[in-house]
Amino acid sequence: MLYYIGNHLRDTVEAMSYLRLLDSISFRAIGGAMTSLMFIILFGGRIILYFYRTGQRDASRGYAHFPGGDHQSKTYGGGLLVTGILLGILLWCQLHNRFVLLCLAAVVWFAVLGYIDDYLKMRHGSSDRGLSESAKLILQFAYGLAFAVVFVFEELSPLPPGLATQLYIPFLKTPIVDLSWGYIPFIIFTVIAIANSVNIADGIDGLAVVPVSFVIGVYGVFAYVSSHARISDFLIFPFVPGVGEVAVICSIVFGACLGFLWFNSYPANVIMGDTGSMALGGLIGTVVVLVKQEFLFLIVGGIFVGEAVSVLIQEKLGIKRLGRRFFYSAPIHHHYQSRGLADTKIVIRFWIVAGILALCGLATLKIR
Amino acid sequence: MKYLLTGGGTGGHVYPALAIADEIRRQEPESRFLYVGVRRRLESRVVPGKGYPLRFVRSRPFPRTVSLAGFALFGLTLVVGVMSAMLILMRFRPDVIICTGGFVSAPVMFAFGILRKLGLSRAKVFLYEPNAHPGLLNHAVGRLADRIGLAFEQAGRWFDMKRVAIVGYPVRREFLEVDREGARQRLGIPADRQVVVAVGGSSGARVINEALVASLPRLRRLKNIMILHVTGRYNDAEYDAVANTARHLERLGITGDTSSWYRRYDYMEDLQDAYGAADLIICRGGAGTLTEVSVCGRPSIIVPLATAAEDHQAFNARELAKRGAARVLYQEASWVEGRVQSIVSPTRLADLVSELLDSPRVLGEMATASQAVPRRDSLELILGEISSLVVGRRPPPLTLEFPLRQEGLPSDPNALLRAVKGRIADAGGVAGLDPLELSYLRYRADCYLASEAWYEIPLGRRNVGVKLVGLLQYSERVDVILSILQDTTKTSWVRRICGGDFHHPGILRRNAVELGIRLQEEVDDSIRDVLLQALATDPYFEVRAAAACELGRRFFESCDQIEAALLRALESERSSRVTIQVIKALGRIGRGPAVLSCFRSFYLHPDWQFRHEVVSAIRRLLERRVLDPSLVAEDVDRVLDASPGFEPAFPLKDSLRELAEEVTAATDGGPRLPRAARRQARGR
Repeated sequence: MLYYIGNHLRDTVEAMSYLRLLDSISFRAIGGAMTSLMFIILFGGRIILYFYRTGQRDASRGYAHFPGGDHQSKTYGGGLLVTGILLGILLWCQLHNRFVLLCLAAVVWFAVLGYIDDYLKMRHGSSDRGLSESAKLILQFAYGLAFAVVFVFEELSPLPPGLATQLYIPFLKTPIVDLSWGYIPFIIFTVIAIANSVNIADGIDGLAVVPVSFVIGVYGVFAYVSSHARISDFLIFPFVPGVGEVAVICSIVFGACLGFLWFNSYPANVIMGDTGSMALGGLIGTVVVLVKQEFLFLIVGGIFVGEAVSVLIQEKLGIKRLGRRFFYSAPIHHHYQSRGLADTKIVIRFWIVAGILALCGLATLKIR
Repeated sequence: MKYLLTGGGTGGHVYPALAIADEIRRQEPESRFLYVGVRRRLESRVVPGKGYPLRFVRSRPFPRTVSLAGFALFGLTLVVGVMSAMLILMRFRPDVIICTGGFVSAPVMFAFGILRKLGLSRAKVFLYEPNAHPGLLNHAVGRLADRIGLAFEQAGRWFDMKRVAIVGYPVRREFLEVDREGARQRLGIPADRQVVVAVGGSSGARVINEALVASLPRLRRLKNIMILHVTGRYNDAEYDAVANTARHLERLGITGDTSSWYRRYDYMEDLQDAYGAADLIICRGGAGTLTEVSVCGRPSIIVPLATAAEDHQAFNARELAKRGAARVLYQEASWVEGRVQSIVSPTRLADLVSELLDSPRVLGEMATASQAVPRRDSLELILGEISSLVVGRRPPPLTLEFPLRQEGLPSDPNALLRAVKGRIADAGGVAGLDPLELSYLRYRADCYLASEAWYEIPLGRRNVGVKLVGLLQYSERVDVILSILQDTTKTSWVRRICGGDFHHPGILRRNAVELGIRLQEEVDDSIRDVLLQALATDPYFEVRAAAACELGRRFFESCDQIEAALLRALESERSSRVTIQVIKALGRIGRGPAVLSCFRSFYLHPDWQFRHEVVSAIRRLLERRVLDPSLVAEDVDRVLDASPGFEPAFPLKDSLRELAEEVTAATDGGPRLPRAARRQARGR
């Protein structure tokens, strides 16, 4: 929004030509990040209290029947995170840009999906009675299909023609294959897998927020590289005009995540819940596809991939097919908890690993 | 009048149809009949002998497993069958169609439905349902029927009440007129013998055949016994009734002319003679068989079929047992030839038979009770219904009340497990359960234990069977559980590559220890040996952990052997969970000095959980006074106390909780609960 105001003012008023700064992606990125960060930090306290008062908490353990005092009552603060992100996007992005619209659609759709799940859990008072797994899958599939169709069709797609269905792999300069129609199931699978793995990873306070911010930061850099004519030419990336808005969105989300971490670190009085983790997951899935670096997620988002794979191995392969457990518990952070590692140690070690993986991901910018 | 009969697959469908047809022919000799069946099924063998024309169509049973190929084949067969049935219907033009169910009658019924829609057939349909729980076909075509005859009231739930009539089970007329002397004469049996007849239903029950033959050596010694064994002609890839029985007899050395005490029949046309001559009948619990037996007024030993829908055979059997007309003999799960199988125990069968034959008074009482079982005059009722159909008279609609859901148990295994737990909790423990109910629940545990069905989490029915054995303290089955635990047959190589080990998966073996063995009240040496072996050699960590836990909790004699095994396990163990359980067990039963020196090696171990367990174990040893406190006086300083494990304490939360407790105690759980507790109650 500020972009439009700035443009209008600059065109009409002579003295405000410095507002040309608003054209610059990096300026808007940093501005957006600061906005979402400060908004969440400054207003977060009050908003969390509001959530608490309206009963948005996991109240399955009441005080009168509590055996031990080791469990905080959790307030679902996913709405705070999503609000911060949306505020940043609405203020600092070019809203007519198709990339921005797709990302907005992702955030809103997945946030609503997550909110329904959280609401059902709160209503029934236990974390088992949210949306059923197949309902979630169907809704995610619906979004994936719509997004994939928009992405692949030349008229609707925000990408330059001919580029949308090429498949890129890290370390290689040229696309390895043009999938055309096959790209649609690939997109659907990517979005669903990433959204669910972020959801799984959100198990301990602060565990998902920082790796998400690392991932989104790395993708922000890749988006910026793709949008800049000279840099993309230098580093041999496909030049996609307009994808710089994705970089702005990425830094807004980065700022929002850091702001959320202000409150979400251990011991947390607010958690993302499904609202936040689904929204973030859906957004990351969309960004991954828009920047055309899907396979990079296997490196940069290795934490999420590992969590999802451990759940798949333990439940689908182990318990259902072979009748045995492979880990003590799945997802993998529960396994470490039952091995005796303290929660804070697990969280920080995961952050360290995510940081290393993010640096490796950045290294693929040059290693081609 | 032209009557079209259809229905079959098993005797329970064919014989009622034949009984009805015979009765109609007796009363109206000029009627014409046509029976429509499927090749190579029971009707193809039985119907021509009774003098009815028989035509064949193609049909297949409804696929029970979900597979695309199965459904496709079923659909194709059905289409072909329906088309040929339509030709038959249009050529024969029946006035009444009598359908007794089974997949055999599907083509005719669907063909009739189509023809009626097209206005090409104006036949009336009489549907007969012989079971308490309608078969799939009868359920599907209930709407096509003009009148529905039921053998059991409960079946009425599934049909339109305005067209239903309770008619009972039509027994063939020959059964209504049996007499003992005439039957014995026809079979050539002297009058002083005690005759035991064994039939396994029209398809021949394998378990009854095998159990009977296995008990023959004992039964042979009973004086005056005469056994008539009708094996049935069941023949498929796994079991050939006639051949297998012959081989079994040869192995036992019962060959040559045994007709003075044992006669074997593949199939008996005049079964009523056997029933008439009998003093005791061993049979399955199907509605037809039981009605025939009670019409003849004979005592029986009933072996219910475990896989009957809603377990109705067991239900029928228990009803008769309550009236004193029969005894129920359940199949049991047993470890036979390296697998768990469901069999009838030959010793129990022999015991029961000799006990009954030894007391003629009891037999006489059972016979009277059997005769007195309330029956209807089914043939009359059915014919009445059919003639009123033909004439077009409408019967008065029935008002039946159905008892809420038979007091039976849910059929889904997990639901059944919860129901059993609830029952035990209500009765205040297993000892509080009524003995009849307990034996029936144990029978269900046997059925699940012997089941080969793997589906759904957790791990299928055998798993539920193992849990039930523990819950019901079914100590006779512990040997089966132990065999499952020790079974080392490997699973397929595909699964082994992915990480599987034995045919009985790890979680099943763990449940065998944790639930099957743990909940037994008494243990003995064989269990101890099996647990020691499991601790040493089982590849799955949860099994070793559970074995170590059990060894620690239960055994207090012969501790040295267990202690040595635990110490050995500590040295070679790689899994932390198992090590923790072993240390706990050593704390509970350890005695010797080797235990303390082993613990000392853990004082500086990097894993804090091990050190924690070792400290707790040492405290237990001190409690039990097997350890001299002076020995460990300096050890306290030697244990590394750095530990990342901590439990947070939230002072605010603790005081809130105490406040809530004080408030609820003060208001005595009065009308206004604290908000959190209210929310929790609402959330339930």
